[in-house]
Amino acid sequence: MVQEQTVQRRGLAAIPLKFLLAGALIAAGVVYLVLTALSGTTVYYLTVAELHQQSPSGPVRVAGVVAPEQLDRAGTSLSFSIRDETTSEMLPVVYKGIVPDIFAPGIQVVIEGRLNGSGTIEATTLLAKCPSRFTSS
Amino acid sequence: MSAPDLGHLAVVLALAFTTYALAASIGGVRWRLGELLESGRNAALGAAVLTSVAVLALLYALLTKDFSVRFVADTTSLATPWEVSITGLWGGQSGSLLFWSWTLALFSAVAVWRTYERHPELAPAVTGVLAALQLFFLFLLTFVSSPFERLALPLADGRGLNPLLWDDGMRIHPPLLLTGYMSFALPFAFAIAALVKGRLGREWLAAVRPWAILSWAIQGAGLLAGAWWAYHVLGWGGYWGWDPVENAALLPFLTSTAFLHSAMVQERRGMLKVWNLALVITTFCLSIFGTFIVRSGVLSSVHSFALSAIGPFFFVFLGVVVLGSLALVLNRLPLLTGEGEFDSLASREAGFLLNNFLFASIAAATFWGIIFPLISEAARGVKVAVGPPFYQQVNGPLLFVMFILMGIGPLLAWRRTSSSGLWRSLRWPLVAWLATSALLFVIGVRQGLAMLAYGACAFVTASVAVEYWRGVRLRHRNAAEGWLRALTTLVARDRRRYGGYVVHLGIVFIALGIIGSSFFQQEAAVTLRRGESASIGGYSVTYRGLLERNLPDLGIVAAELEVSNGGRFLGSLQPERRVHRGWEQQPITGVAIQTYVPSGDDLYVLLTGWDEAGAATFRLFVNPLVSLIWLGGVVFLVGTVISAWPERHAQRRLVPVLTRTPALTEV
Repeated sequence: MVQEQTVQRRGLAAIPLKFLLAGALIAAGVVYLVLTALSGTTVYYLTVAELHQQSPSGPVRVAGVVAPEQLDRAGTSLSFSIRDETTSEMLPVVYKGIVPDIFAPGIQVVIEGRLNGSGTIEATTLLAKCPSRFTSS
Repeated sequence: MSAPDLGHLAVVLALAFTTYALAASIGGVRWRLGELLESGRNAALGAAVLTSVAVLALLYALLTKDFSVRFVADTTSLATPWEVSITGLWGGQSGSLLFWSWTLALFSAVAVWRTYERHPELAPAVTGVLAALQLFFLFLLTFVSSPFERLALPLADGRGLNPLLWDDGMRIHPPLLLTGYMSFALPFAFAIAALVKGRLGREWLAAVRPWAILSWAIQGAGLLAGAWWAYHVLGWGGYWGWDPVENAALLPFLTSTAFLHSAMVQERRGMLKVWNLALVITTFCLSIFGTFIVRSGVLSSVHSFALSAIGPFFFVFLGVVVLGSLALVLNRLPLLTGEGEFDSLASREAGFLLNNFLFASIAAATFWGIIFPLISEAARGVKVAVGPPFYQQVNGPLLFVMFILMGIGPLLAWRRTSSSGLWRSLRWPLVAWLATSALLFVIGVRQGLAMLAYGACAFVTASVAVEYWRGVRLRHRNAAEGWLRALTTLVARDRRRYGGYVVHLGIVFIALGIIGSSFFQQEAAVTLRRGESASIGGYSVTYRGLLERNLPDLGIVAAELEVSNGGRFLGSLQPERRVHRGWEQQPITGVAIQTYVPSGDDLYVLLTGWDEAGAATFRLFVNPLVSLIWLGGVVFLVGTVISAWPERHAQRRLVPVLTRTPALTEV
């Protein structure tokens, strides 16, 4: 049995240089991954009112309530409008993906997509908030 | 006395008992009174009985549909069948809190009992910490969010649980995940107890290990059950969406996985003591953070739990836990010097270190993604969110490196591995890697990343095989045992190690499923008239017509589809839309999923709509190998059970119950 070394050094001094270098290298790799991923994948989270002011060209997330008017399911495409909860401004949306079961007028949704030339959001994702799942007491 | 009143009384009494357990544990140590400690222990056991009474009372109210109770009226209705009514227990906030408190009380009772038997010097502190945590939940249940709160006027019928939640997933996933979140409190309690008592040697590791494995396994099973539920019920063709709430549940699992590995370094070499404590404490903080994220409404998520009053309480609780633990660790730093030193980069401990580094990086990146909207709003005044692509780009490569490490690590020797020894260990796994990638190329796969990843699966499998083969061959030669006997003794002698390898194999299965469905999923949206066919991924799907069924509380419309592959009839599928009475606004999608052998493809079909003319609209997916994820989950659990199965000698070692041992009174 090899005797344990009894030298006790504290903190970073206890770690050999090659370990520190290897660790720093990996840490740099992780930071690089995070930064490159962030530069390409962030989306602005806006209200309908903010969207109308800014008209951004990149992808955005918008939250609102599904309006009962203008709701149309035609084949595999769904078009509807969402209403801003505070200002009541409307925003038309077109969506071709899977519609969650709980999607209905009056439901809170978060959509993600891009604004097209005619002021409609072409949504790529549609998240519906379920009002009757865990309720507040 | 009515059941809700009894339940409320039980909660209030549990609060009193728990307060007493905390006070008696502190007082018993302070004044060296064994009797006081014993009564504190008994109070903790009493709290388990009382919270059980409260849970039974709430179940009784749910099953008898007592709509004078607000919680019952919210989570069940007259039309709700009994097996769904039961799930109401965790179908609302205050019920979930009671469930959490109850499971914590049960786990605490077992932990307190066992610890007084096996590690009496740690027991009072463990009891005290668990009681302090329990107080928080009982306080909320008594004063802030009670499931037994009465309505001013009883309702004739309740609102009931959304029919989307009427299925097996709801019976399994939420209680598992809640129990998982809760159970990280136990390793935490042992860590704090060890810090308080200044007993930070191997013994606290031995005391904490069973609880660390248990909580990790429950959380892992909860995550898998959540993935299963999303896939089979929610009908979007996937199983993991990198949603903030899912990510928050993943975080404590990542850090506790890291701990299970780094604990072995401390056990073997006496190193990484501070790091291990930090992992256990962080894991618990992350589980509180997860609950806070879910309940506070600070982030938008598909798991929309309404904005609620208990968010700030959890925030304060989290703050107290984080700052208190930090102060305690800093105070005890002098006791936490490492005994060994790192020698070589090609050593088992270096492998574990890298493993921990990667787990910590994945957890940190995921945490960063979760809180990014909050940070950006605070820093720049705009809310910027990150979605699935962020997590895929960051965690994908990190998980891949980790996966390869899973193949290399077990083959490394402690302290250092010679390059020739490393080569002897790694040559067959590397051959398996290359052979698999080459084979995939031959059969026509051209996605470089998928070939690399499938090859890595073969690499890890081969490395596990090498480890087993070496052990078995050694026993076969030296102990002159038959092959099968050699295998069973090998596993029985070192359950943790060889069970751990089975867990690794489970991860390989899960990885195969994730690779298959991420790289090769096919999707199509089609509208078909009766008799028309659509084809996807080599499968031909023919629409035969709609079937309608009307039950008293339920209307079902199902589409009859015939599936064939290359002219061979494979069977029929019936995707449905279900409408529950009282929920006409919200039809429920019944996904039709069929796994085909030997291809391993899942054909996953949704009926999204139909018209009077007889045409129906479908969304079709071919999801290769997804069923391996569920199989991997089973293997994962089997491996965990092998690993965590108590060793025989540990069962025999019974220390007399609570006597005034010197260890107990030395403060």
